[in-house]
Amino acid sequence: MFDFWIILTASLIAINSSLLGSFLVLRKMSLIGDALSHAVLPGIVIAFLISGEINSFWMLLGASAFGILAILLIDWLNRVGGFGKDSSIGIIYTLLFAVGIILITSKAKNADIDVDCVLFGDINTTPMVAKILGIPAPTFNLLVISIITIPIILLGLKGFKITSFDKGYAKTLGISIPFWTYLLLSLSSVSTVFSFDSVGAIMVIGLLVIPASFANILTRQLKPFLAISVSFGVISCILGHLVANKLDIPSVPTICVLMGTFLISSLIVKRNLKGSSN
Amino acid sequence: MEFWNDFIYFFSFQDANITNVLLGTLILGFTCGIVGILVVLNKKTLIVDAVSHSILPGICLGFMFSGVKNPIYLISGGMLAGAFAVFLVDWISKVSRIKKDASIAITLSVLFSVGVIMLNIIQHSGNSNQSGLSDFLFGKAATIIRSDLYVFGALCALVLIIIPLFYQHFKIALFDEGFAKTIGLSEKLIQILISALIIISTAIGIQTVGIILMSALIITPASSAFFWTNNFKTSIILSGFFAAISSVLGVFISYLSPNMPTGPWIIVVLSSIAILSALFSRKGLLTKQFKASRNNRKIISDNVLKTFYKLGEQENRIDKGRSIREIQNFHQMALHELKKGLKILKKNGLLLEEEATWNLTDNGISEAKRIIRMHRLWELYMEKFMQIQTDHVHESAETIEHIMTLELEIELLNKMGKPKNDPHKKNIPYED
Repeated sequence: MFDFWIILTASLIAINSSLLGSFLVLRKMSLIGDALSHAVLPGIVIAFLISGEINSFWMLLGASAFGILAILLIDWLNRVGGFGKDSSIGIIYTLLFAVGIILITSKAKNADIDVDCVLFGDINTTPMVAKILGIPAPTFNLLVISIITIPIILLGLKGFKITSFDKGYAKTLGISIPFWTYLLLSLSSVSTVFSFDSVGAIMVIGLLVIPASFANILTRQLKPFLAISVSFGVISCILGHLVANKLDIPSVPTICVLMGTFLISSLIVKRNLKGSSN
Repeated sequence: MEFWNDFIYFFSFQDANITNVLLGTLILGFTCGIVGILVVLNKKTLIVDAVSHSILPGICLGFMFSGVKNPIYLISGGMLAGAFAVFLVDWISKVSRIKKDASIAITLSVLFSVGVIMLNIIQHSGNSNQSGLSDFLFGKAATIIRSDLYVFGALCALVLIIIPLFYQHFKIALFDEGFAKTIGLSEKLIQILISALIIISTAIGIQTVGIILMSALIITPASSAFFWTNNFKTSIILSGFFAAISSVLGVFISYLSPNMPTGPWIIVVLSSIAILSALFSRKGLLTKQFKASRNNRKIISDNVLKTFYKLGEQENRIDKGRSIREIQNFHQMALHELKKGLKILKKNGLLLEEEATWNLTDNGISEAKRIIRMHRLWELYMEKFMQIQTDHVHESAETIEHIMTLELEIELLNKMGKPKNDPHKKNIPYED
């Protein structure tokens, strides 16, 4: 049962992130995911300081508020302030993350939320935290998020697809590009927030981007792309956790490294196959 | 009072430890700031992120290799890992259709994860020297000691040699790629040099700012500097200055409360400078807005003056008082704009208000004449010298009348003599 909850939690995160990450990667917005995962920190800390509990509705609210704030600020710096797009992302996410860290170290000392948890996550403690309806709270929350996110993506597949691949065509059809972009970004920030305390701010980017990139080198069709991405994510989570247990090292970074290893070795194999067929 | 005591103590170089920390952060900030200019101009900003996160496994490797926290081993390990990250980012996007941004995200998360695992192994190894390795995550300037200073100094000197040595190369390659290619400047050399500078400055910077926030110490001061100057050399110096000042201030703030990591405070100070620059610098937002509103006020008040003149021209009595209603009937404009214009003119001594009627003062009359003269002279010039149809000249004159200078007026008069009428047969007014 112990490992079951951890694997379930990791898999739920993998499913959500791989689906959302696929569209982020296709839209060349991978680094927005990076920025979001750092920028939501002050929101999480402020909500935690007010409500006193982790994994609450307030945390979602605070984090979403800061996610939106970050996107608006990046946009503002870029369009109005005259900074380059990349620089705007770099400036805003580091600033918000720094504010979050300052808040944690000055206000939330000795509490459930600490710097290590923010960076690395603590998925291995999942089975021991408070339960909702017999399911550990983080897992329960992720289940709820998945029940909302997955149908939205599947039902909105056409909208996401057209606005990702052919913006001009989307415009002629009268499909709103900002609507689908903001929907994608909001879903991503919600999913990021709830993955945050399990996998940490930095490895959540790996979970968003690596499965989608793996799919990207194998196929050019959207449905297989999503299927490969999700299965790659889930399989890596299960294998990663087992390997980590065996070697007695933390699970989340192991999952990330495993994904990276798969990706890089498949690149090498593909390159060699190409080389020999020529 | 306590604050000032701390302040004086901190900046007076009494304490050898604090002197080390201050010197160290100054060197680091300055180095990272000047490298930042090259990075931002070369659009490599996000590579810095990949490099800084990837330094974690390098540092762990350096520690595992030496068993102590010797800065030379740690920094060498860090630079090795940083170089590997640069290679990996390029390689992934070269051999596949994975885009650069995705390959940056992949590299940084995977290498950081490797670092986390190594850190975990080290922490469980029982080596008592390991405590403090996690300070590299958010930076702890307080740990800078004398021997670190020599390493930082040497690396900073290296950067300070490379940049002037290749100054012309950088300048040409960064500002005019096409020209750089024509004269056979090796693009590869420039890219390698810039990557090397990124790796060096990142590897030495993380002790103060930390892995996570390192990229800001390079990107943010450079981005702020471009608000103040367009000059390459000035921007390099300014960026170094911003970064050095922020580092010292950040270290001082975290000195006031010892549990605080240094990095976040440095970033907060840096970002404040960036935001202030974006608002108040010569190219800043508020400065632009201020100029726009000054222009707007001038246009409104000029238009009111012109209305006074035209009303006077109609009745041949320019000094007659006018009511708001009268002005509005003659020239359609929003009431609040009209009132604003009247207020500005009154303040400038061009109008007098008496019992709800408004009179031009002597200054007001000559200013009104001047604007009308500019307008009509320009119309005439457009028609005579640029062969523009009479019914098309008004629009252009309507804009130029607000910005025409005395020199331009003299030029026009020299060209055309002292013409009596404009193309619409209206009289051109001159001073008596």
